[in-house]
Amino acid sequence: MMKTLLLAVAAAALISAQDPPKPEEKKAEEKTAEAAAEPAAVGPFRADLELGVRVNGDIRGNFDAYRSMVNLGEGLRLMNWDIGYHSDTNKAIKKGQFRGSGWGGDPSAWMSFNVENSAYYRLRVDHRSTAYFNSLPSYANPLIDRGIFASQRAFDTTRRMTDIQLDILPTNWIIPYFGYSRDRGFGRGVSAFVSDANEYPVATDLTDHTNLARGGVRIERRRYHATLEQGGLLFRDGQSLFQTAGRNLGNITRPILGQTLFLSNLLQSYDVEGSSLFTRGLLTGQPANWLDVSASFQYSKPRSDVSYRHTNDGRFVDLDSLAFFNSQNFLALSSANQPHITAGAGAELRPMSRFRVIGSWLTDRLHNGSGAIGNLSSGSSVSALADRLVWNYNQEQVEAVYEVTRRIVVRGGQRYVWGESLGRSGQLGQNPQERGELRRKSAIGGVGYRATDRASFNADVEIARADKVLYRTSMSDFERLRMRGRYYFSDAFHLYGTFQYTNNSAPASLVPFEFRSMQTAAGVQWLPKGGKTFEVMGEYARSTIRSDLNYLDPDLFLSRRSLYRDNAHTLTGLLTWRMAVGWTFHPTLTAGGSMFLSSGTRPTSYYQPVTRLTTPVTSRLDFFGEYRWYGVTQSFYLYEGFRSHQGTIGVRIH
Amino acid sequence: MAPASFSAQDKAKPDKAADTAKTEKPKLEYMGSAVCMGCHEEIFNSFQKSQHSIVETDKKRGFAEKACESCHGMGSVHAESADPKDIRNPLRLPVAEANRTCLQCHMNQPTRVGAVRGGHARNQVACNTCHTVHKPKPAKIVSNCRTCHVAQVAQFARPYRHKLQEGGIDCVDCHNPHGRLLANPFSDISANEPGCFKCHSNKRGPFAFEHAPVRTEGCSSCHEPHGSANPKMLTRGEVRNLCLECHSGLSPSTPALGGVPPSLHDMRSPRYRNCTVCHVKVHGSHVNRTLLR
Repeated sequence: MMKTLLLAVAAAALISAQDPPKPEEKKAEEKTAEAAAEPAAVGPFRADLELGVRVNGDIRGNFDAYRSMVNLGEGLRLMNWDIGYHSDTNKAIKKGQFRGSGWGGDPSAWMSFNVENSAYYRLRVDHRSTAYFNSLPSYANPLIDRGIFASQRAFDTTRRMTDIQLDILPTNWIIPYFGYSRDRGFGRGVSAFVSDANEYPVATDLTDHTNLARGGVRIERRRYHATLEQGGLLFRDGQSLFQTAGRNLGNITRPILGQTLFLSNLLQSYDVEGSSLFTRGLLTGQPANWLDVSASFQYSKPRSDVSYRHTNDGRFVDLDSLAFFNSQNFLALSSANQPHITAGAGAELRPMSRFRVIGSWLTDRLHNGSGAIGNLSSGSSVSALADRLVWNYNQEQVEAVYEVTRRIVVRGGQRYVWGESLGRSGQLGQNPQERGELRRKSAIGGVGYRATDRASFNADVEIARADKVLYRTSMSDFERLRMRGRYYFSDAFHLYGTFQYTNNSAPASLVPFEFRSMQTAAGVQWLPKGGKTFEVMGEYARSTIRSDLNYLDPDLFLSRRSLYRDNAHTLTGLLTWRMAVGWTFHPTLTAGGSMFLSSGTRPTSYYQPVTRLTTPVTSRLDFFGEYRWYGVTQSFYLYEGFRSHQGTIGVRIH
Repeated sequence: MAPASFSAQDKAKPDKAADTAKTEKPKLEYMGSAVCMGCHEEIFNSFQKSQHSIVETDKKRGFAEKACESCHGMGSVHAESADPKDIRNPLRLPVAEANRTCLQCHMNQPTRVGAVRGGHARNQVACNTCHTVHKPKPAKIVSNCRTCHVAQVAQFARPYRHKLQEGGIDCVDCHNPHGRLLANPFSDISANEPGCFKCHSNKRGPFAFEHAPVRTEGCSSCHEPHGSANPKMLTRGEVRNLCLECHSGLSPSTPALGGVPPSLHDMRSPRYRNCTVCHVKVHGSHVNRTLLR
């Protein structure tokens, strides 16, 4: 229905926008393809639409992996459209735009619809649909060693999201606004039902939806601006695991104490109902020409109420008592409340024209209080458990900025973050709860250089030292350097590059931990003669990650080494050639794609070349043909590799 | 409403003012957009289709029919001389000054309240580096981001990734380029909840039994959101390494959260090497404190 509607709307707009070329327009038709690429405008409308048919060639290798990474199917697609409207005389709609991409079955599709008469209103509607497929046997599949490639954690779901925002009287001093969002996910998959001594991969149904409404007012005076917003959301999340027939042996097929465990019947269901009220207040002001201030307050209070039950039949064992049993019934109710406050304030002081001091402070405080009652573990009678998570985070930052010249700016300052967390401890913990602290100080600095309006460079550095961190892998004692620059040699040649370096190590009180990451990337855009004939874009990125940390083997309490390395090269390029051959209209050839090669812990190669030929037929109609190839190889996980060919032909009407 | 920074800009050219007096150039005054259109017709026409055209008609802002001069300053001298030096060009101003021109009107937007303290502003990235003031918004924001964040965009060429290349998302779906109160550059939903929950709303909770790092460190403590060679966009190649690097805090003298799993976890068995085989509710559970269901 949606596809039909879209096609009808797009076709109607195009019909109104199209005007067959007349003989006297022949001169106008003698344009380059670049000029022809401009959307046609007839009356208040302009329209651009791309329609194509995709055919998948032989997909070799793991089809599930193909779907997990690419998932482009065959058939008719409304690949892109953009319909614009502009009128100075229409009082109701002065401007409108309706555009989208990927409809007809592609996994990532979106559309947006904007209309406004800025004297009275501005309406934006966005909708997107995302298909998510994930089935990779290398992830959480204990049977892979036995040559069983059926993934035990697989999902084939769809998520649809709609956002609506309406601003009323956007030119007024007081601007009321309303927003509504709906988010819905649904689909099926495979997940594990966990019993005491075994796990059984079973089918799962997933469905959730969220409705969010918010409204507020923006006040825009000369010296201060303020926003007040109040909103709320309701969500439901239902998940069920089920098995209705057969004998599912799970991951343990060998007998335990002479008995074979199996699952023959299961119905596990979650019914989660949640809500949240949230409030936001923002204030920015300029009480004096030398002072800017801002303050914000954000509060949300998500809560959830859950009803859970499961019934399972088969043969199971309770490992604590070594008692075997044939069926189980679990019922549990739980609820959680999570008030969350974020507040902050900041100021920019300009005592001199070239010197600024920027200071800010914020606090973020989250407190999750929850309780559950029911059969909360295998073999247990009705029990109750309460749980708590507290997370208080604070940050203050002061930075001085000095404009050495109109082109060079230097800055320096400090950031201090501190906080504490209180949460449930592990099963071997000495106390039911464990407490963590965060205390970290950073020196921050940077330089910005705008040599001319053609060249710019900036660098920033942060050097941090921590007394306490929450986790062994947290950012603690680290040095971070980032540099970015770009240079327009000419209007036709543009070069840009970045360098990032992060080195993190644990404070002395923790076990040795070293993490180092480096990323270097450069790109070039070359548009000789304004890109009328050739257009070249190329980017190369080199990244290395090295993480080295010891961990404790739980069964033997021996120290093991976790070493993760990733050395990657990524090359992306696109060449566009507008050929000065042929008849009146000049075809355009585009070729390029990306290549990813990595070595280290999970060596991977991923090639995504693409080539496309577009041939104008009339001033408003192009034919195009496109070829794509996807190929993945992971040398340690060859069973997840695939190669695919795809061809698309279609028309672009503009 | 004349932006305060204009007067500063005008004062910054005393020699120009002196020249003006000597050559008896016209007095600085507003000319109106119609005069600008005489030479800059293409820009003017494009401007009419942009969001900023509101300034041209809106009496509230004080620049009705002289929207060009709301950012470029009074244009009478430039109109007379046609010399680019006689007009204020935010592209050539110091970044902070150029940004203040924009923030006169735009500071109030909920996504921009942190603009002055945000990473872009601090790194001398002016508003007009990304925003084309005279043109309608680009269809895809990523084209603006890639020239500076080329390394991040390159990560989307990895096999497991968010669907940026495919058009499923855009950079601003997850990031707030205008700055945020918190140090990390993510966007928020529902006031102060992490923006990840906008799409991954089934991970929202709140859960009766939370997995603390999801709240305290955020999703990126386990996931590489741009792209990864590891399934589920994990930051490690194998699940056990990711989990056990934190769940090794046995000694009370090591002040880090994350308890040690019981010794039944025999790491020689593939069942236990894939922690999420059993701990299926790794983001948080409503009914099981060990996140098994």
